[in-house]
Amino acid sequence: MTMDPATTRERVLHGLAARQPLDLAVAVVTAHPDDETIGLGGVLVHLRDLTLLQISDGAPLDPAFAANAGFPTRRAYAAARRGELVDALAVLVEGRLARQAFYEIPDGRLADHLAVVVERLVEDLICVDAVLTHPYEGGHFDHDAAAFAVQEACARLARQGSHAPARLEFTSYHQVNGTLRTGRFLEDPDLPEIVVPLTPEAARRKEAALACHRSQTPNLTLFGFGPERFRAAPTYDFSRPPPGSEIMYGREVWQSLSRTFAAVTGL
Amino acid sequence: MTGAALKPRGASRTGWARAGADPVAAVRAAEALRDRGDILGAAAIMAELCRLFPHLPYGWRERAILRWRAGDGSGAAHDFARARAADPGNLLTLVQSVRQLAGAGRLDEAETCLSAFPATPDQAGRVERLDQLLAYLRQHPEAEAMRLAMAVRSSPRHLDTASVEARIGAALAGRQPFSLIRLGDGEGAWISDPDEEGGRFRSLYRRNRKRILRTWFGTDALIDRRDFLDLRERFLATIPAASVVGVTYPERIRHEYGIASPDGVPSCTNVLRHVAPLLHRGDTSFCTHDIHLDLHLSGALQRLTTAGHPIGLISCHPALAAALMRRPGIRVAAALLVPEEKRFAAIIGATGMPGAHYPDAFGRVTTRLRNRDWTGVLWLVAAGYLGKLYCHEIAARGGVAVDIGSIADAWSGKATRPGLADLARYRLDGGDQPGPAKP
Repeated sequence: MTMDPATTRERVLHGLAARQPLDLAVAVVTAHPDDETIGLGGVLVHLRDLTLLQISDGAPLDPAFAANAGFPTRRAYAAARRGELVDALAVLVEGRLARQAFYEIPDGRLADHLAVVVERLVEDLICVDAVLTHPYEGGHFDHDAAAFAVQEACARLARQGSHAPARLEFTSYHQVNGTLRTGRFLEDPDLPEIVVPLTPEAARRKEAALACHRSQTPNLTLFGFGPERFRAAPTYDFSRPPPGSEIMYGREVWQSLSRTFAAVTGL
Repeated sequence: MTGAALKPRGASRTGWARAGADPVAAVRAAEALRDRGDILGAAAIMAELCRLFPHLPYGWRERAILRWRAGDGSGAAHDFARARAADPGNLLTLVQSVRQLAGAGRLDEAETCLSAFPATPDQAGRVERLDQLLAYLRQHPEAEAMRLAMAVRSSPRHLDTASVEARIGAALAGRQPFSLIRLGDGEGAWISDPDEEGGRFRSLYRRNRKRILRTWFGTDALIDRRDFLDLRERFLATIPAASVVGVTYPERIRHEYGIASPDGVPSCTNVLRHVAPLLHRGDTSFCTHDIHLDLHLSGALQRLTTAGHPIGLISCHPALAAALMRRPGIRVAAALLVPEEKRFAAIIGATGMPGAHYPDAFGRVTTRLRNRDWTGVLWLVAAGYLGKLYCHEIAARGGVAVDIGSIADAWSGKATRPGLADLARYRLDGGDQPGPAKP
């Protein structure tokens, strides 16, 4: 009947590694506009049945962020980031998406809406074969919340006996020994990863897409054009801090986040 | 301007008074009353208008339409004749006149009416299609269509709702492939062959194809595209291969011929002409085209989906699979999304799926269906014309496919068809549905 998740994962990883067109239905769940370009901008073009689920609108509630980015209001900032994403996708996949959905959660507030996000993911992820999202690594609380939401949504589908997609991860950023690392996973010998060097064409595409995220230019200089990495997503224990990483957003925030995770898991 | 704007302001019959002051406003007021079901109120305005302004064609035309709707065929024909006399070159009046006469079975008069029309070059296409409709009605009169519809209905292979439910249940229990497809207007437009009889009905058929393409995809650009035309051959092959085929029924035939519908008549009749030979060969069974509604209203879909078999779903509603999954006893094994029919985009709302169903989404869905074995899975397919091909693919891989059509819209709270206006009857939870009937 339905393909088992392990086989699906292998097919996705194999397809990405070989840079071959993949006809499985794959969802990419990102916390912010630009995460798609940073994490998998070089390979998105190979996903022929791609659903993009964009959780936050990229604009924090604090109007100072919009003002600093040169926008009069938070809504204007969010609209600009949506436009930048559309431009980036035009470069990355030439606009060829099976589906895109914007959950429109304010940037930085994913945890406040986690129950709703999980339910929406249940609705959206039942329709795909595989899902790629952020790892749980203490880099950004929205990334960690996205990792939790995807794991929880898939668990709910599986518990109910319905189809749950295979879970995989792309890289974001984290900190080890006080050093910021981008484009890498926290090492885990039990989680083999595949490394996909960018071809000249992929690098050109990724560079052009990053340039589309105009309002984020200063942040994006932290991310280079090294290989992209992917792996099967483990089943994380969200009641504990991510192992081997420092929590960049502070332990107090993590504790609050962890309580939210526990509350949503118990729903 | 609406009828409400002409509500009494001192006078009890303002519409009559308004007819004398502003004939166009009076017509609009009458139309508004007619659309609200107040035929007598509308008729009163139109009668006064025609008395005061006998030289105005639209008064007679609107009165004729009222009479036609009220079943007064000869009165309608009389008023249409007055309208044509007042404005012989009015195309709308001509179309209504010809359809009214043809619907009343007065084909000779309809042809006389049409041949007397002084068509301008830009009206020639419409006139040609009317001429082809009349030719079609002569070639395939209501009696023939009714005979075919009755032959299907009275065939031992015609299944009632309980029997269809039993067949689906047996296929699931026996892990046998099964496909139930329904052939409606859209399918009829693509069953109709523009090259039939030397292209005698070509303009009519092409217009119907274009109309349905715009409904499905928002454009008729596919009308002559080779790949889409080739798809028709695959679609036709799904019909004899199906376990059960839903087709139109005698009451619908009467309705379509009664209004001489340029799309309904050839679409319904050509479906029947196409499936009639199957009554005597193969093992295809038949049921009514509205079987999807009956399966819901009888509680059959509720029983089938909660019988423990994994469910597959193809629809344009992103949240429907999860809504089904949340129902007790339902496991969703797969859910595939297709873009909505563009005519109903405003009702269905944003789905996040850019573009049309064909070709991109069709290719993706077909690929996904072909990747698996679907034995033992009950697929609910709500995907229009292309959905028949999905049903075929599913059955070819061991699955049980049921073309549920607009029921998926209703389950999602979207009344895309007039028959679904009472959405409360079509709730996903089924409401107070009856138990299974005996086949």
